[in-house]
Parts: sequence; structure tokens; C-alpha cells
Amino acid sequence: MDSLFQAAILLGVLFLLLGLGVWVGVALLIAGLVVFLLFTSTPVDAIYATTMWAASANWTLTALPLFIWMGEILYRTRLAEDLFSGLAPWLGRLPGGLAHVNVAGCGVFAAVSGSSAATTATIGKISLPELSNRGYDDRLSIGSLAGSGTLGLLIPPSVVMIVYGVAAQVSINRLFIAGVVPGLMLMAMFSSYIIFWSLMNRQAMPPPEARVPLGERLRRMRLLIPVVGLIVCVIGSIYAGIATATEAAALGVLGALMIAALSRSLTLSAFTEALTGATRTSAMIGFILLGAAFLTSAMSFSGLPADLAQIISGSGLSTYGLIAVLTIFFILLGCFLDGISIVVLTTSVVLPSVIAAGIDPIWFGIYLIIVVEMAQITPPLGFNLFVIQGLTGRSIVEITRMVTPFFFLLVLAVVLLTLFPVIATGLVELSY
Amino acid sequence: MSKTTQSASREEPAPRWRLCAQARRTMVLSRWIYTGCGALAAVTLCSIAVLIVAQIALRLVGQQIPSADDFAAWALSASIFLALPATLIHGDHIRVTSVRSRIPEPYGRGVDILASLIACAMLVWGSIALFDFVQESYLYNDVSIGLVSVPLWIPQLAMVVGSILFAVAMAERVVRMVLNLPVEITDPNSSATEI
Repeated sequence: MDSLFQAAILLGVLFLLLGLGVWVGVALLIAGLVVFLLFTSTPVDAIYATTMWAASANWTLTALPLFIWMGEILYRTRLAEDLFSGLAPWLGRLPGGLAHVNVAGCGVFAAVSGSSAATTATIGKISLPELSNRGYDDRLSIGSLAGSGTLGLLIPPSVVMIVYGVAAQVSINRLFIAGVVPGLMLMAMFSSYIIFWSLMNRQAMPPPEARVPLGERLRRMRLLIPVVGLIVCVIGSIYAGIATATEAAALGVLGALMIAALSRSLTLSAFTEALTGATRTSAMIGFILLGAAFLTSAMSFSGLPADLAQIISGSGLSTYGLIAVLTIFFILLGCFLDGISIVVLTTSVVLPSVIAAGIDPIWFGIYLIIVVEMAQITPPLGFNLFVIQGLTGRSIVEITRMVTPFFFLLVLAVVLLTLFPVIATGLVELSY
Repeated sequence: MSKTTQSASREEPAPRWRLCAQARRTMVLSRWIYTGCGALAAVTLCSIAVLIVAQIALRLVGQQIPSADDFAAWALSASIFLALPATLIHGDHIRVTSVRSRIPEPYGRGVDILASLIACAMLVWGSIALFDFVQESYLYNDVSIGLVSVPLWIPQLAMVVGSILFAVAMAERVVRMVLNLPVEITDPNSSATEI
């Protein structure tokens, strides 16, 4: 009972501060401070300073700003336009037509940007007008965009995965490899649903696209091919064990700069904007990670995770039961917290108990990321819903109705992942 | 902007207005300092990429930069901490606004000021702890344990400077909100990585 009381105080302080609008990083620091002062008798200022230094001067974490920078560079090229015109001729004749461009486009852009809001906004800005001009049903185009936009978190190299890996002290390389199959699986599920929907609603579908000759198809992909090549090289070098995540990221930046230069979008102002944008985003994420590191250390000093793990195992809840409870908890959290904050809160408060319950931290990372993706499109407060509201001017209720089938596809993905953990862990075991 | 403040100044007594102007001049200067630190952070971030690419290239010809991993890690620490104040004034640090947006004025402004005060108190305490830590590291002459042994206070200095400036920027935010001055610079071109 005592440790439950401590946990309640901790969560109370945390949610009070977050509700007041205190910055997430600061709220985590204060929560850590409260745990230290109330439940331990350790000299807290020395631990604060050593934690700040150890957590910020962290070689593994250097992959984070570099991948963010790579995304910022490619974001400022004509990539998004090329994604649509390059993919359309290949996918336009499938049942469901250009709606598949949303899935494939988001898949490619997600690999580049690692942010689901940016993925949804960038792809949607190009694809939604094109789709509605051609007479596609909004339910299909908006729903598939919102669903596929969430791929940004799962398809490596993903920023959220690096955050999880650093905060949970799990190998980032392994996480990246573990995310490949679930990411492709989700893309396949989204595309299958689009095919299914379009076959059921033939009258709502516009006529298929005209055939485009092969030469023209290739010409339209001129920016797409090098970018996909770069992603394959980055992920491939990690998969093959040639490069660490940081080295792959540094080469990714170099490659992105070359692609930008070749496509003549590398001006001095674009370079500076990308670099300062990347610096500020990494400082923002870095600060949240520092807060999480301090809270994690406070938690381990207090012995709270071990107590909570004992309570969980004593409650007779099965692993599946635990996963179900956590899923609901995360979706509720997602109503007012962003993905990165959910991930760091989980790693510092929940993860030690989860590991004590015998769950593989790599698998848990992939699971957590898919659940956070669900949270991004859960009404009334999903980040991606707001992005689409901004793009289309539709009401949240309407958008929610269009997104619902894709939300359930994500639920199905979580169920599959839970029943068959090998979906995430299989490729990792193969390559190690 | 300047128009509204001028009309406000006419109604206020002179001494307070002078104080205001003084504070404002200081705050214009401080924004330059945050921006300069942010630029330094960007250069540091760039140097991480250069360092790692150079390390890979040298490894191909069978050579290496001694302690390159340490230098990259220190550069990251410097880059994060030095960019904190600039990130704050651009409004890029994440906070939960969904509850705040439901609070009616003038209470909402009060909550904003309270949140900034709480953050400021935390950051001041943290900066003192970091300062003591680095001072000790300097006095006891802690050095890194890699191939190249560097006195650790040198890379740790950026952490202290960044943390202190972050606390100052947070205090400035409180002052700005009390004086009804704009708190954040919003530029329309920076939506690339809203996570």
C-alpha cells in the first residue's frame, strides 16, 4: 500500500505540473526531485549534476540530432512533390488507385522525417488536393492519410525509437531492425483495407489512371530513387552491422546534402534553416530526455519499480492482461501528451516493472510505438487529427469517423504483435 | 507593437516607464545572447557530423581520430544545453496546452506566469547544482579516461553556461509576461519537425 501511495503522489505531482502547462522536461525534473526528497535520503544535487552530464554527453544519443538534421534537409527539397508524381503511375491502376500513394508516400517520407505530424502534413498537402480533384471519396483519402501518417514513428530511422532506445538503454540498432517488419506489415494492412474498401464501393471510385510509359515513370521518380536509395543504404548499413546508428546517421546527412545539392535546393538559407531547425528540435527532445533520465534515476533509488512489479505479479494479471491495461492507459495518456513524452514517461516509470514481469524491452519498444501511433489519431486530441483539420478545414468529428477503420487496423496490429512477438523480434534474432 | 506600448506609456507614471525601458533594452540584448548561443549550438551540431564522417573516412585508410567518440558526446552535450534558451524563445519546447487553453482569462495568464515561475525555480536550483559540480571537477582536476585526457571542466562548461542562460531566459519570460510583452518569436518556416 505504501508504494502505491508513493506512486499516486508521483503521478499527482506530474499531472498537476503538466496540466498547469509546465514544460514536459521541467515537469519530469521536478517529479524526480520530489521522489528524491520524499522517498530517499540521497544527496540530490550531486546526482542531478552527474545525471545531466552523463545523459547529455552520450555517444549513442548523437544519432538523434543527425537523423533529425537529415530529415530537415530532405524536407526542404522537392521530395514531397516527387513522391506523389513518382508513385502515382505505379500505384494508380491498383484497386483503390491513388489512395495507395498516401500509404507508400507516407512510408517513404516517414523513413526520412521520423515525425508523424510532419509526415501527415507534408504528404497531405500534396496528395489531398490531387485526390479530391480526381474525385476520390474523402473517407478513403483522408482516412488513409491519417492512418499512414502515423508510420512516421515506426519506420526506421525513427526519432521516437532513438528516444526509446536511449531512455530504456536498449540497442538502437536492434530497435531499428525490429521496426522493419511491423512497419511493412502496417503498410500492407492499410493497402489491403484500401483495396477491400474500393472493391466494396466501386460506384464511389473514380476511373483508373491512364497508363504511363516506363520511361516517363522513371523520369518522374528522379528525386525519389536517390532518396529511397539513401534510406536503404542507411538502414542496410545498420542491418549489415557495418555502421552504428550514429555513423549511419552522419552518412545520411552527407547523402541528404548531396541529394539536395543535385536537385538544386541546397541554398545557403535552406542549409542554415535546416541546421537551426535540427538544433532546436534536438535541444527540445534532449531536454525531455534529461528530465526522463533524472526521473529514472530517482525511481531506481526509491525502489518503487520493484515494488510495483511485485504488486503487478501479485495481482494475478496475465501478460496479455497487463498489455491490455497498458494499452488503454497509453491511449488515455495520448489524449493530452505527445508521443515522445509518453515514451519517456513510460521508460522511466513503467518500464522497470514491465521488464520485471518478463517482457522483452525490444518487443515492448515496438509495441509502445504502435500504441503511441494509435494515440496520435485518437479523438478528441490526436496530433495528426489536428494536422488534417488544418489541411482540410473539416471538423474533428468528421475526420474521426473517416479515420476509425485505420485506428482499428492499428488495434489489430497490436493484437497480432502481442500474439506473435516474432513479428518484431524475428528479424533481430536473424541478424544477431 | 511599438505603437501600443507608446500609448500605454503616456498613461503610466514616468519612473515606472523608465524602468520598463531599461528592462526592455536589457531584454533586446539578452535575445541576441540566446540567439548567439543557439548559433554556437548549431555549429557544434555540425561539427559532430564532420567528426563522425572524418572518423569513418580515416578508418577506411586504417587510421583514427583519438577519442573521437568522447568529442562527439561532449559536442552533443554542448549543443543541447547551448540551444535550450533559443529553443525556449522560439516556443519549441513541448508543453501541454490542452488544459491551459480551457482556462478563461485573466486566470489563464496567471497560470502561465505560475508555470514559468515554477520552471524558473527548478532551473535556478539545477544551475547551482551544475555549477558546483563543474567547480569540483575543476578543483579536483577530473580528466577524461580516453586516449586523450582532457580536463572535464572544459566540455562541462557549456552545460553550465547553457543551463544558467536557460534559467535567465525563463526569468525573462516571467518579466515579459508581467509587463505584457511578446514572449515567443514565432517564425512561419519552422514546422518541419513538430513531433
